[in-house]
Amino acid sequence: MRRGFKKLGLLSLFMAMLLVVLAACGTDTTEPEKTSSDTETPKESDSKVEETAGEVTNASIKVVTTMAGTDPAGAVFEELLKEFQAANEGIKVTNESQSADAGTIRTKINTDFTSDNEPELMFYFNTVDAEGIIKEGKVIDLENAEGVDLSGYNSMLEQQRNADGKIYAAPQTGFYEALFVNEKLFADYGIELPTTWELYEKAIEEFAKTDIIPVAVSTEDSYYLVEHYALAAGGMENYRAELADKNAAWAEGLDLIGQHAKMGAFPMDAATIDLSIAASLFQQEQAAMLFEGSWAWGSIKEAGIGENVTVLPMPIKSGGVTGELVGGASQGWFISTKAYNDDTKRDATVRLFNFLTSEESILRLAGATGQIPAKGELTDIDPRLAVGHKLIADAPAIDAPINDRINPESFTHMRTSVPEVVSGAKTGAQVLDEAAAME
Amino acid sequence: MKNMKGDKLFIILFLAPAVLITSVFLYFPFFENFFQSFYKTDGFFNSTFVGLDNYKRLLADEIAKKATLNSLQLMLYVAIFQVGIALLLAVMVDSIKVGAGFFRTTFFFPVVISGAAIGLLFTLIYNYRNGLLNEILVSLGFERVLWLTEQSSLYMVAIPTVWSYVGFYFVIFLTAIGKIPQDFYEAAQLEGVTGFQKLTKITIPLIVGDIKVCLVLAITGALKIFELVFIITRGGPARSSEVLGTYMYQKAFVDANVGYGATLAVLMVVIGLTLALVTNKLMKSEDITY
Amino acid sequence: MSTDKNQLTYWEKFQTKYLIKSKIGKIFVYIVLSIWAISTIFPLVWVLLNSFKQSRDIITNTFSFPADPTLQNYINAFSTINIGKSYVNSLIISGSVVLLVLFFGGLASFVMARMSFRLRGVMQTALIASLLIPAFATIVPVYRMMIDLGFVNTYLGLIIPQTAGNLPFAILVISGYMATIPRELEEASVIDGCNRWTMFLKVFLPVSLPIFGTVATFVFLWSYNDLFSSLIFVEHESVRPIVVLLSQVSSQYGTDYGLMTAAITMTVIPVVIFYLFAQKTFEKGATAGSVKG
Repeated sequence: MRRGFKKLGLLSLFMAMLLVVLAACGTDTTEPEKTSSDTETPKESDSKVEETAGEVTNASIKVVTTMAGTDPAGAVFEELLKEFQAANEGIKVTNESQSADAGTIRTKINTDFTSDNEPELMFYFNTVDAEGIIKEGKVIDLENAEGVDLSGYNSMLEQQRNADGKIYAAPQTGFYEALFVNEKLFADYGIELPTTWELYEKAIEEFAKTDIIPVAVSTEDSYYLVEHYALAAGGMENYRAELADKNAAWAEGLDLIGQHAKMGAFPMDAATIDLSIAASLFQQEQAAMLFEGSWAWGSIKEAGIGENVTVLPMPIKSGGVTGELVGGASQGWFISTKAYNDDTKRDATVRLFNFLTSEESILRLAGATGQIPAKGELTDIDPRLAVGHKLIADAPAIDAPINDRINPESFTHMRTSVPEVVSGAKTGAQVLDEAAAME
Repeated sequence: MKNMKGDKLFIILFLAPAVLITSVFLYFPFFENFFQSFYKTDGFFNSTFVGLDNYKRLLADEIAKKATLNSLQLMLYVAIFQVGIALLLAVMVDSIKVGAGFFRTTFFFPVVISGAAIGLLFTLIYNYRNGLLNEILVSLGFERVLWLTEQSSLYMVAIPTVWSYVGFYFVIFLTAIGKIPQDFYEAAQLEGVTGFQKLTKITIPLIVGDIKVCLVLAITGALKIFELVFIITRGGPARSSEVLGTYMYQKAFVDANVGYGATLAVLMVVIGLTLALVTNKLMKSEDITY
Repeated sequence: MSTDKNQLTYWEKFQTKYLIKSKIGKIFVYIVLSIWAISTIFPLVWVLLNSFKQSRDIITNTFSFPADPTLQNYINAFSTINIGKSYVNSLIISGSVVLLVLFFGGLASFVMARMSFRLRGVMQTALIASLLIPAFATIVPVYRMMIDLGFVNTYLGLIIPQTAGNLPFAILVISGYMATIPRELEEASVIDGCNRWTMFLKVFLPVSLPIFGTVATFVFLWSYNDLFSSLIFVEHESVRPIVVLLSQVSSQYGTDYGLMTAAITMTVIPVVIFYLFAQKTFEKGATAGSVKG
């Protein structure tokens, strides 16, 4: 009895202490909050305003995107939000974008969606990353949502269709991954461009004899490398296989990386450099080829070698046609179910969604990055970029990167095991078996 | 250490805020993490209870074994060299008059600069093609050397790891040496104790408690090493420099296998706690007050 | 001390003669210290010089002087986030964390170092264990709590978790220091009519000032440099600290190394200033400590 009482006393003491703590800090923060009250409105008073106003046009909307950091679309996106808010008085948009490179956005989004703190609108990965959110019904089926305008999209929209037949994400721009080639170096050394598998291997052989690194890659940070070799080994049909199939072409692709490494295809320290250091070898014209995505054009041009570079599809060894591409649109605009079911936010959210996915907005965002718009077409495009856009238009088949659709742990295992395949410690088939076992 | 009347109340009052905050925002979350180690989960959706499966996996996981051994090796270097060099430098700086402030400030610099910068710096030093070391070799007419190999990678990350945080222990030691009353030295001098004897018979024994604290910090800190390794070698080549910090980050954040990541975190706490307690026992000294 | 204290070994005689008393010893000490200082100044100078280079030169010509110095990186930095506001936010957040950690940590250290109670051993173990808890392991549950408390994107949202995270370190180090404070001081203060609170305030706090200064420096540094927590808890522009600038230097479109070095320079400067200030505290405290005899 006495002991129980003691505990209770202790507990209340703790509570009192907590109050002291909170009060102490509270005074710390009140002052600056007051001074910045015009830029930031506390959460609670927001909802109060909405309740009393009862107007659909009065709402505050949180948007989370990856258009931040060095993403050239970030500035355009900010502009668009300003224009939208100017045209829709009463709607306040909070932009909580952060670069996906910072590594925290997945944690933040997942926690937000499981803690009733989700953004109204988000531009996020429509890949394995969104699977949980979709399965839990946290985002809406856009096709059957009132007021949502999905007209005017090209085939990228259809590509977003989920296995359950619904569309949860509206694409903005598409990308491709391919072989970036320094034409000047090929010409200087009298080597033919790698338009076929044989020529690709020939180019590796020839450049290996020179001071030029044939292909700038990281064998650990090897997303594009693994994907392209799997594609080359068996064409799109095998590339599309499930991991559980343990497709022989995937294993062969890994083994081919090992073979090419022995031919001297890659940098000496390929196992420890990251993608950006690998890319810098290409940018300094110390390497002739580079596997990258269409977003790499910006830094290639900045390095001053844009004129020397062109982009080619991965040459297919067997089982497909050269021209098949890894690419598509891996990100899209999602509307959260919570926002859609909230009468005070639905209208504003849908309005912002329609504004951001309008042809004009999409073209402006795509214009900043040079990516392929999901609606309309970019005019006055840099001829170098146009080569890539044509690549997509002409592609007999396009599919998403492998890591977008398989268990992340399995893909990481494949990717990080490449150095062991190179050193001969493991075979491609072995790595694939281990990766499949992780699913 | 003799307690006074009414001490109980003060003990509770003084400890309460710290205990409360850390319990709610540190220990409790870690217990949640502990429970997750019994689940196969991405931490958010899809959570299946798997009992001890994650621990069974841990026992059979060759990469985890390698990472643990590497972490222990790094810990040894950190404990010996980081703490050792820091002690030596602190004693030296304490012994001089001119320029002590300068050294005290400059030695702290690497601690201040973010790991991202130190990591990039060493990446650019070790780089095979354009790195500083190889540029020097080439300009002297030698062949390029591959600095990061399966044999060398752990040492190559140990160097910046040890070097960059020496300043941290240096500052703690300097503070500790500063509290030794000057009259101790004066008295010793009268008795003819000079030079190195001063160091071994006065300075070290009097700060042995602080050395113990630093060793505990070094042991616990070494297990969490992550950033520099991740940036400089990415755990490679072929996982030869993988440490528990990088492996756990990969599992929990890149691979979305939070359940297994939590298991690795538990492993880290168990190893660290065991070693820290052993160190404490080994260095058990009577309470010294001045 | 034992009786053989004056019998020097040959090695000790040698050291006394050539290393300590002689000029050669002094010179040796200065040479070692200078070499170490050069190695520690190097990265700072490297970052500073590179921040005036074109972005692409940072990988290609990283160890040369900027041939054509530019302020572009700093201009870019100023256009990405509101720098002034972020500095203020950093100061508010990290300053509060330092004060809270020192106050709560100081009180707890006093108890851990100078009083005996039943759970002391358990608490010492728990303290060490908490140093091992990786931030990755607790971030999600803590973020959930912050959402429930409505603290996300407020200063408290970062102050509370960082205070919790830094308390164990502070308690361990401060209590280690306090443990050696002479018992006579404690006894004298009791005679003067001090209770534990006034004893802490009037005796232990002033004598321990140097270690408070040291701990404050590191707590400030860690709080200030904590990019990971900042991006999760206080990502909004009205509250985010300056370190968030570092997350602005990259995206899938590439890393802007020029912006990165400028961002690092801008984040480092305040910490160095803070350190110089804190140093004064170390020295002041040190004298205060030795006066008591």
